[in-house]
Amino acid sequence: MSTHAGAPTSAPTSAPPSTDQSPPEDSARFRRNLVKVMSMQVVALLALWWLQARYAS
Amino acid sequence: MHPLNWAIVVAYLLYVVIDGLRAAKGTKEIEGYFLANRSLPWWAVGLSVMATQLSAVTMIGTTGQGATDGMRFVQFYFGLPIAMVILGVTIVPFLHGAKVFTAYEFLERRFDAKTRSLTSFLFLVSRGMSCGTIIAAPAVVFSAIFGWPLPWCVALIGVPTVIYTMIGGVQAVTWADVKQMFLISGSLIAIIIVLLVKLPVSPDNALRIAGSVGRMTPFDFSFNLSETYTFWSGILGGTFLMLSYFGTDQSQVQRYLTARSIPEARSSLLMSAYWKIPLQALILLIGVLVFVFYLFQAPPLLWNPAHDRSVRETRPAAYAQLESRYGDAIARRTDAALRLSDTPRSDASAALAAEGFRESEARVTAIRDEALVAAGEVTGESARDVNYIMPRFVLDHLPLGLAGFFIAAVLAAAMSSIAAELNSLSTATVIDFYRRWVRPEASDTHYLNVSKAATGVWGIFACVVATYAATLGSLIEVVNRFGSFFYGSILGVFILAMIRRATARGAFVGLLSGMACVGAVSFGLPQISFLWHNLIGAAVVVLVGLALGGNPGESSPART
Repeated sequence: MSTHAGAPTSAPTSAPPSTDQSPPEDSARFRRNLVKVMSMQVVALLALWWLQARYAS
Repeated sequence: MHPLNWAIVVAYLLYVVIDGLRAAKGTKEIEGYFLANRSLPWWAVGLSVMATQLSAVTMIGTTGQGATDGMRFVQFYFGLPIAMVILGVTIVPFLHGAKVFTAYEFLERRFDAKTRSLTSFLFLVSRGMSCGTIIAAPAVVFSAIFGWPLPWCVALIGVPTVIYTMIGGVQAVTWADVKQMFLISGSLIAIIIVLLVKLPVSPDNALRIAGSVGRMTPFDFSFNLSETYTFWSGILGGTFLMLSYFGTDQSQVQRYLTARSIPEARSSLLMSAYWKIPLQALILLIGVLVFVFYLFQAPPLLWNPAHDRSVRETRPAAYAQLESRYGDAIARRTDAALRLSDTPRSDASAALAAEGFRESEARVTAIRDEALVAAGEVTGESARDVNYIMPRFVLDHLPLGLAGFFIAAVLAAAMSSIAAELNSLSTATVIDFYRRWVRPEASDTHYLNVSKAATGVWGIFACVVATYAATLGSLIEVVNRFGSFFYGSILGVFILAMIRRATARGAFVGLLSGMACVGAVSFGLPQISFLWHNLIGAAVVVLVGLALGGNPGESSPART
């Protein structure tokens, strides 16, 4: 059974402690997902715009 | 409600608790209890993020808002996809990569202990209170509709949630969220089908009728700081609110800290971003269709049955007269709606038919306003009854069995949000305070037991708050408004954490300045909508923090 040392676990630093070390294929997947998400938003906004244009008096 | 509907609700409650107890078997260590050993797949985390955000307030409040106010509330969510993408490339890698339990733990590594403790404390206060309002929303409605005492309704929602969250930890919370999300989506789809089948006009004409009284206007491009739901407040204020909520609120951060890796954590957020606007638009559209449905079915004068009883008993003659006038106005509105529906769009008399419908709708609204004033005077409570429209529709008009599924879905939506909040409140209490200041050295078993106890205590606290928060006005706005006091300022601290020259002193003083500024704006300029408070808070913290920051490369004061 492990025990935990109490925080602070490390000294404060002036630089951010962590950066993304994702492999290239993960970055590519993220970009693909990003394109899908933004496309979906554009479609949703266009659909809402069409609803307003057609039905709002 | 029919016994079959109750059987469905009870079966659901038992299933959630038993499933939560089953999840507890794999949770023996604190990392498993709080973070599922960082082992969950992205889709489960994504559904959990969505379920947590989709509370009972959304199920009953947003649909009600759609019925009374139309589609414009959807603008509130326009900033969400933008915020998710920004978080995916900024805060998520830092927090997940730092292997922290809480977002605030990261702030101690970057700045100092007091910044961590203050932000965590603000989270505990705001989330502890909002957790109570999230329980209160459906509890108040159930209490009025079923005639049960409010504390029973609070217990009905709170007790099963506390049990499975306390025993099962984040594993139970996440997997319950996944199932709850399916239940919620299924019941929403079923309601749409029922509405489309029951409407006496075509969907095209239904939307045309709704549009003629301003309910089909999802975009408002006016730049008005006092208007809460506009395109600009959604895109700018909404983005900052969502950045704050998903980037710094432990109840959300903890969802994606359970993901297997940084890309999986990012994907879970993108999944939520993908569905959010279409899902919210669909929920509002259900409300709009319910409005149209009640054009052809006599709606009650007051949606809150408890208020209806009170006014009827206290002022019988005046109320009967109001009801008589209301009945006439409703009949005229139905005729006007049918006339508008029967008039072809290209017909010269179409504008006249639309105008006639608008006038009849205005008459109905005026009589209802009189009834609401009377309800407020008689009960001494807020007479706003938007949250009762959907439950009344479900109980009065849905086929047998489906009403039970909807009530179960409302409970599911409430439980998923409450469970995530209780779990995160317990995490912040134990990790940021108990382990940090009270008992730094102890075994995992000890921390696990304290965590379970903390979950139980927060559960009881939330139930007590829910009992007293019951008389608050529009609960959906109360929850968002309350968070806006702190969210923007906390986001500002996290932005500073990613700027090299920011120092611990700048972050702490900036945080205090941001909150003071939001407080001053909130009380001094109440006409500014609360959505802008997040932007103001974050901007003040960053500006003050940078003004007090050192030069690039200079050490933080805490290190010297």
